[in-house]
Amino acid sequence: MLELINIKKQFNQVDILKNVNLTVNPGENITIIGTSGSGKSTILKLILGLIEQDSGTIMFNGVNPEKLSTSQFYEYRKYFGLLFQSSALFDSLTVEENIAFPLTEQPNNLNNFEINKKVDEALELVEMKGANLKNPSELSGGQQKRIALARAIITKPKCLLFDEPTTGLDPVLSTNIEDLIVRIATELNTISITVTHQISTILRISDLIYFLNDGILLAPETTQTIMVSKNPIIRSFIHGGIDETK
Amino acid sequence: MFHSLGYSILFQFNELGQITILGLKYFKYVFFTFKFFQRFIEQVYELGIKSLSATVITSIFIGLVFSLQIVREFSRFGANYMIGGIVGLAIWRELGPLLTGVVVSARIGSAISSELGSMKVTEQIDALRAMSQNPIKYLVVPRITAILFIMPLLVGLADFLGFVSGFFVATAIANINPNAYFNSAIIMLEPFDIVGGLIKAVVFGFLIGLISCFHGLNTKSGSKGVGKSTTKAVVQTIVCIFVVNYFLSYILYQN
Repeated sequence: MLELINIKKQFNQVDILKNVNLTVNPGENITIIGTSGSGKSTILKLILGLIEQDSGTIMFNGVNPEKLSTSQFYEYRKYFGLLFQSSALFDSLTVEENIAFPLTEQPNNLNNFEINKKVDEALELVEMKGANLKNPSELSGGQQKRIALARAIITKPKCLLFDEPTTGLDPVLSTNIEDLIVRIATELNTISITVTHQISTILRISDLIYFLNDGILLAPETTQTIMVSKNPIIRSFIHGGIDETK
Repeated sequence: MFHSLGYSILFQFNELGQITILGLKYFKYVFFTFKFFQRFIEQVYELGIKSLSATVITSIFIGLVFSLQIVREFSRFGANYMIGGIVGLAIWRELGPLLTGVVVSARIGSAISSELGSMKVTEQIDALRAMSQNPIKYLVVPRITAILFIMPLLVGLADFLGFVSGFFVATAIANINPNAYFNSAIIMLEPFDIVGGLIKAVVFGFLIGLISCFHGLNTKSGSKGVGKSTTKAVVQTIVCIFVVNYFLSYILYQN
């Protein structure tokens, strides 16, 4: 179980997260929505420990990462897989080297044959079989997302984090990625947290939807209730009209 | 005005402090070079090859022009027999390390800074951290160690080529006896002149790697930020090399 308790975070003396509370149980797919710059991606980075909260506690399966030693913290991070908004594939590595990276660069008992087998399995799962030796620059945006997804799941994480997984993709590719996210989260029985402002993605992959408004997560909605939500902020976001430049 | 001046000074000191911390972390993690040995070899190959042609061309022409400038003056005073030694001293002590440092800053420093900067803005550095990799161990240590390895080799090559090209001008224009050119070099140059130049090469290499990696890792604001951090890295490195060169010359050669 993942818990965020009273999380606060400032950037340049501006309160981005004022008091975020969130509990996600194993097997749950939740989505965090909100306007651009509202702090959605910050929540994912906090969970993974890429940045530190100013106050509050994050607990994963009863473990507080702040109390871990450096080596224990690196172990803790292995429970997570993050799909970055920009895919963040390493340009200098091939597709298979990118996917195998979490295995090859960490101490484990796997030999090269076993690592290659896992890479092939991950490629098959994201429907990119045979792309092993390609460079990331040879792939389309959607294909890069798939490879990044394969890299995120190769260690069989217990919590998958998706940062804007379908932004910038055409509707067909978006649908493919959304299906893939649901399938993988179900097959691996992971906690899955998606940050997005794509309505189609929200509706296809979420069990619960949280709206991040002014640094606070509003009460969760389901895919059914969010479409008829009486909250004017959520209504405005879902049906259009929020000025994202504000 | 005073407010912005004060802010600028504080900012520079803050940056200097952060660069120093990165330098200390390098020494803390330097033995991880062995863990990432393949990456170290890749960097040696990549960075060494990249700067080889520029170093060769620069050093040849520095030797030619320096010899050209002093040949006539020394001839006027009948000091032709000293030209080899003077060219050797100037190149081995100062010109070789200094100009190779500038060339490598422009070639390798900019490459490192822009590569790490691009990795930063495309979230590849965050991806490394997300996969439990320390970017300093994985990216900074192999690069700085590679430059530390390459720089003395490049400076040694530049010194040799500069000295030999000076020989061609001296013998062709001033009709200096080839033996006199080499003899004066043997008499005037001491082993420590060569060693001192190589010590400078190592220090300059460290500065180039450190400052370039720092600015790469601290790139902000997309592709525009990559350009800014690359420019800043190159300018800062070159200025640092000139400043540090004075103090190194004072320490190494004044006694």
